[in-house]
Parts: sequence; structure tokens; C-alpha cells
Amino acid sequence: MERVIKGLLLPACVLLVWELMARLGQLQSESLSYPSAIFAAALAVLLDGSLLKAAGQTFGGALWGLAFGAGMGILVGVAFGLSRTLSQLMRATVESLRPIPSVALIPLALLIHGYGFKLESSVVAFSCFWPLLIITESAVRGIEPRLLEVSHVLGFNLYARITKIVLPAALPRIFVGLRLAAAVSLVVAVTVEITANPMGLGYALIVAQESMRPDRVFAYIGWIGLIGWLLNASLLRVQLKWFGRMGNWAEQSS
Amino acid sequence: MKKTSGFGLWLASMVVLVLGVLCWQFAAQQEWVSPVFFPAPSRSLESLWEQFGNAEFWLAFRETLSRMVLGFVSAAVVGVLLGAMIGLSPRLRVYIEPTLELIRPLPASAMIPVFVLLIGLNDRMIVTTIAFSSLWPVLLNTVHGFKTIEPRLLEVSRILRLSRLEMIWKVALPSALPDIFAGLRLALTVSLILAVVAEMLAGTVGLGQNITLAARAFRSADLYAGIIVLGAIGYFSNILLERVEQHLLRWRAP
Amino acid sequence: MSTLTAPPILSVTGLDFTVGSLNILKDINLSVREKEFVCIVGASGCGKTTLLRLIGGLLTPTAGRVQFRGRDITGPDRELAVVFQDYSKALLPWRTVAGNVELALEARRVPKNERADIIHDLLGRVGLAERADAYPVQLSGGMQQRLQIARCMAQAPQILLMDEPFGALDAMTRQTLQDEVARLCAEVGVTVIFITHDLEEAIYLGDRVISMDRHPGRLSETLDIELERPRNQLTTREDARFLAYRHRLFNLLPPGH
Repeated sequence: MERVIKGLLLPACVLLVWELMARLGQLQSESLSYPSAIFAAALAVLLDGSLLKAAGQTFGGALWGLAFGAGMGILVGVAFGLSRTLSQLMRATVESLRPIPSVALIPLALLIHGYGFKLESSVVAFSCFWPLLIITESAVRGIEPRLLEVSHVLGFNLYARITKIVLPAALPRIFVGLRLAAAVSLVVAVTVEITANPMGLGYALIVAQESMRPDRVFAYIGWIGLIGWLLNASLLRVQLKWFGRMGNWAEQSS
Repeated sequence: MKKTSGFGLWLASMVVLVLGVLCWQFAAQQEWVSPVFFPAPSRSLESLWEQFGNAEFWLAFRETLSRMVLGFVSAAVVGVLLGAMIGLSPRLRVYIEPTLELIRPLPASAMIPVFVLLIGLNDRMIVTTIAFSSLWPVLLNTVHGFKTIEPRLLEVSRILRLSRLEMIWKVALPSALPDIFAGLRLALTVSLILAVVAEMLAGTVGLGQNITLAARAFRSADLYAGIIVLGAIGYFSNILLERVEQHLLRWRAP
Repeated sequence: MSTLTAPPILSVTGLDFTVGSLNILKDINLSVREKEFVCIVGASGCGKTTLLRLIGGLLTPTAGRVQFRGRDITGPDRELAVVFQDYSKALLPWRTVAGNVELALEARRVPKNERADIIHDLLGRVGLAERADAYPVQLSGGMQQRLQIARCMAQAPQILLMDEPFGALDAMTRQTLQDEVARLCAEVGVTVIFITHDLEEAIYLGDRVISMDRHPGRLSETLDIELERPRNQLTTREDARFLAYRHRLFNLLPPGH
């Protein structure tokens, strides 16, 4: 309990000093606002529905992109993991595409899709693809060779081998990858909204900034942070519940 | 025997890549894919070649690169120093770590509107954004590195009566270096991404601005050329960092 | 040889060590003469490592005192070198074998131009002269432990505290190192306090063997070992006196040990 109090001391002091300085007129509140105003704004956007609407849009884009990108990443990762030759043949291609920063693709996606969901989810898909590819390939490679021998002995065909042995064995690490990719998907979605897409939480941020409402800006930043934290925390709970200690091991080795 | 087959496979992967590009080229020329959205690689390469002869391009290139490097280096220095201080002091950590954990889930790009409000849409805003966002991976990883020094080594330092400075320089810092480099690698990726995003928002001269304008004007060959350049920056900067890391950490098990 | 009238180099008086409600060590009294090789034997969990750490100044006693040449020990000191059981954790992985030994010389502020000779000499004594440029990760367990011993010797210690140093090694390496340590410590003339749970190792190496009870840790019997030096893995261990000592100690230590 004492630790919790000590941990909260710093942020509490910062907030207090900030509030006081703004009240005493020392701080330019057009640029920075102050805690009580920010808190009020945070409450306001929640109550008038704009937060939920924006969050829904961001989640939509992020989720689609995650599903597609991670899904493809897992498929290709399984293929690469099972066939070393395939993985090595594709190395140059992978190594030339991977360093492209996903944000550099925003103008391209804008060109192809125009504004809207597809813009966002395509960029998110690109960023979620790579981590899942790498983690899945590594997870499949790391499967206990005995298990694969067993699958041969039992005469499984490829489909059965993948669904009954490979995927279940690699699942803990893949889930860790999904958790990380989920966080990435949220960040990338917000980034796309900030740079180009007129929808979602990122866009709400830009609107608040352009209308010189720093209280709203900070309020949205706070909400984005909270949402991100909640997402990760709930996925972590699911991970621990389904995979327990196995999940911890998976996380450390990835 | 293994070495030649390794080289052979690498060569084969390059062949696969080239074949892929040739297929794209063919498909684009036959107009099986939209030449606007997926221009023939030859056109992109032509555009690239043209830009290399163009002084404006090099100006944009230098601007983006210098912002990225400036932001990254400042973040690295501050991050390592602060991280060392915090990591080495259990007392400081109790107060500061919870705050760090609160900030961790925030998407770096979400802070851009704050900096725009504070500093305006200019070069300083871009560098500040880059530095601020790149700081966190370095800081968090450095704290971890200094936190997890082998306790046995700390006891040996005490027995040898090393001064605090000696202990930090000879034991703590080398021990934390792997973690520090992990943070630096993340920060490098972040700095490139933020450079592009901030440029897109601020509309200042730079590679981010180039690709945005190219997309708006449907100059897709120029757009792809710009993406290639950004990918190359990401690739080579990473290689550079990796070389430094490999040299400094050459004592690690092969 | 040490004179019996000289004051002890190390004395422990009335040492107690309690953590929370657990009394780990009770009323430890020990007196060590200069250049003596004292072995403390006890079952696992009896607190011998804790005792060693208290002597080395890494822990503070709850009651009683530890004195080195008449001064109270209030913290770790270069003169009391500690050889840890987990040798790989006590070595700097980013420094070479020579670099690890040099650390102790740097701590002692030995001038740079003198270091190379000292390092070469010490590495020679522990048989690592040829691996001076290797990194610890490239060495076997036995070699890593030798390196730690060399580093400790480079501290120019007056007392060497060894915490089950060969516990993690295989039997053959253990025997080789036992002889090397015995020889090295006699050459350098350092006082040794050696902790082990291995009866025979204690008798083989020591001038004196003290057995330790547990719950709470307490020193019980002392055996003076009247075997000649240098000792031999075959002949000494077959000596009738060796076997007698072994019987004595075996009966002193708790069953299931």
C-alpha cells in the first residue's frame, strides 16, 4: 500500500503544481490548459458521445487491420516455420519490405482507397503483419520435434498436422504476438488518423488542436492512453487465464 | 558444405525477389493492375534516378535525416543518463516507475498536437516531437538494464571497494548495454516514423512532405520512389546501429 | 609457521543473526590464526553461507562482532576476498580473462605498467596463462572458477573466504582444483576460511575442521587435522587418521546429510 502511495506521489505533485501555476496566471493556458479543465473536458467528451463515436471508429479500423494483417502473418509464419527452404527463399523479399515504415504507406493507401476505413485498416494490416510473421515462424520452428514425429507416426496430412499439432503448440507465443500487435494496431490507427484520415480518436485530437482547445487535446490523449492500457491489461488477463505460466515463458523467449 | 548452400539460398532469395519485381513489371505493362496505383517498377526507378539528380530532393533528404538524427541522439543521451540514474536508485524507482508505466501505452504520435500547440508548425516542433517520442523506449529499456544487474557483481564491486563512479562505469554500464541497445533500436524506428508523420502534419520541406504531395498529385512513380528512399533510410540506419552493437557486445556467446 | 601466541587474524565473538523471527545463527565464536586453513562443514541450510557473508562484511550481525586484526568489520573489504559458488555470476562477461583479473588491480590502484606482470603471474599460477584473451563464456566451469580465484588473489587479500567453491563442478575437476587451491594458498601465505558440505573435502584441505549444526546454526566440534602437507588425493585419503576424522565428523553431522 505504501508503495502505491509513493508511486502516485510524483504525478499527483505534477498535477497540483500545474493546476496552481495555471490558476495563478503563470502558465499560458491557450497552449497547455490545466488539470481541472482537462478533467472536465474528458468527462464532457465521454458524456456527449463524441468519445465513444471516435473510439468506435478507431477500434473498427484497428480491428480490421489487425485481423487481416495478423491473420496473414500467422498463415505465412506457419508456412515459413514448417518449410525452412521457403523461408530462406523469401528472405530477400521480406528483408526489403520490412524496413518500410508503415507511415510511409499512408499516402499510397490514401491514393488507392481515399479517406475512410480502408485507408486505416490497410496501413494497420501492414504493420501487424510483420511481428506476427516473425513470432509465428519462430514459434513453429521452436515446436518440440517429438510432437512433429508423433504427427508423422499418426499419419496426419498437412491440414491435420497444422490444426492439431502445430497451431496448438505454437499458440502461447502467437498469442503474445497478437497482444503486441493489438497495441501496435491501436497506435498505427491513431497515427493514420492524425496524419490523414478524418475519423476516429486521432482526428478528434487534430480537431481539438486546430480549434485551439488544449483541454480537449489532453483529454483525448488521456483517453487514448487509458484505452490502450485497458486493451493490453485485458489481453494480458486472457493470456494468463488461457496459457498461465506457459504464456509467461512464451513472452520471455520472444 | 553448409556455407556454400547458405550462400546459394541467399542468392536464390535474391532471384525470387527479382522475379517478383519482373512479374510486377510485366503485370503493370499489360495493365493487369492499375498503373496509377501500382506503377511499373521501371517507372519508380526512373523517378528515383531523376530525383537523385535533383537538388531539391537532396535538400528534403538532408532535412528529414538531420531531424531524425538530432531527435534520436538527444533522446539517446538523455534517455541513457536518466535511465541510469533511475535504474540505479531503488528509492527513485519507487516514485518514478509507476509514472513511466502510465506513459508507456501512449502512442507517440498522439503527443504531436500538444507540441504543435506549444511550438507551432515548424522545424523545432518536429525535432522536439521526435526527441520526446524516442526518449521513452531508451529510458524504459535503460532503467530495466540498470535495474537487473547481476547482484553478485554488485557484491564483487563492494568487496573490491570500487567507488560509485567506478562501479557505474566498469560494472553497471557494460551490464546494461544490451538492454540499452534494445531501447536504441526501438528509438531509431520511432524516430524515423515520427519524422515522417510530423513532416506530413507540418508541411515542411522533407521526404514526408514529398510523398504526401506526390500522392495528392497522383504521381505514383514519385510516391513509390519516396517510399523506397524511406525504406532505405530505415534499413541502413538499422544496419549501422547493429554494427555498433555487435562490436560493443562482441563478448556475448556466439 | 604461525606462532600460537600471536593474536588471531580473525575473531568472531558471540555472533547472532536473525531475520524476522527466524534465528539463523546463534552464538558463533571463532578464532582464526594467520595462514591457517579452516574448513567449516555442515549440512545444507545450516547457515554456513550466511556465516561466511557475515565474516566478509556483506551482512551485518544482529548481535556480536567480527574482528579482523583487531578492527571491527563493518562492511566488505578488499582484504577479505570472497570466492563465490556461482562463479559465472561473479565474473564480468564483457572482459577477457586478463581483464577480469585486472579489475582487482584497478581497484587496488596498482600502476598500469606493473599490472601485466602480476596478471601473467597469477594466471600462470592457476593454469590460465594460455587463455588470457578468452572471454568467460568460452571457458569451462572449472576454468571459470580458477579465474575467480585468480581475481581474488589479485586483490592481495589477507583472508580468502571460499563458499563451497567446487560445489557446482564435477568430481574430477573438483579434485584437481582442491590440490591447486591448497598449493596456491600455501605459496601465497593467505589465511583461508573454506565452507563445504563435503566432509572429505574439508578434512583433505583443512588444518582445522569445524562442524556446524543447524536450526539455528551453531559451531559444534573442532577437529585439528594432523595430516602432513602437501596432501595427496590417493594416499592422504587412505591414511588411517583421515578415516578416523571422517568417522568422527560423520557421527557429528545430522542423519540424511
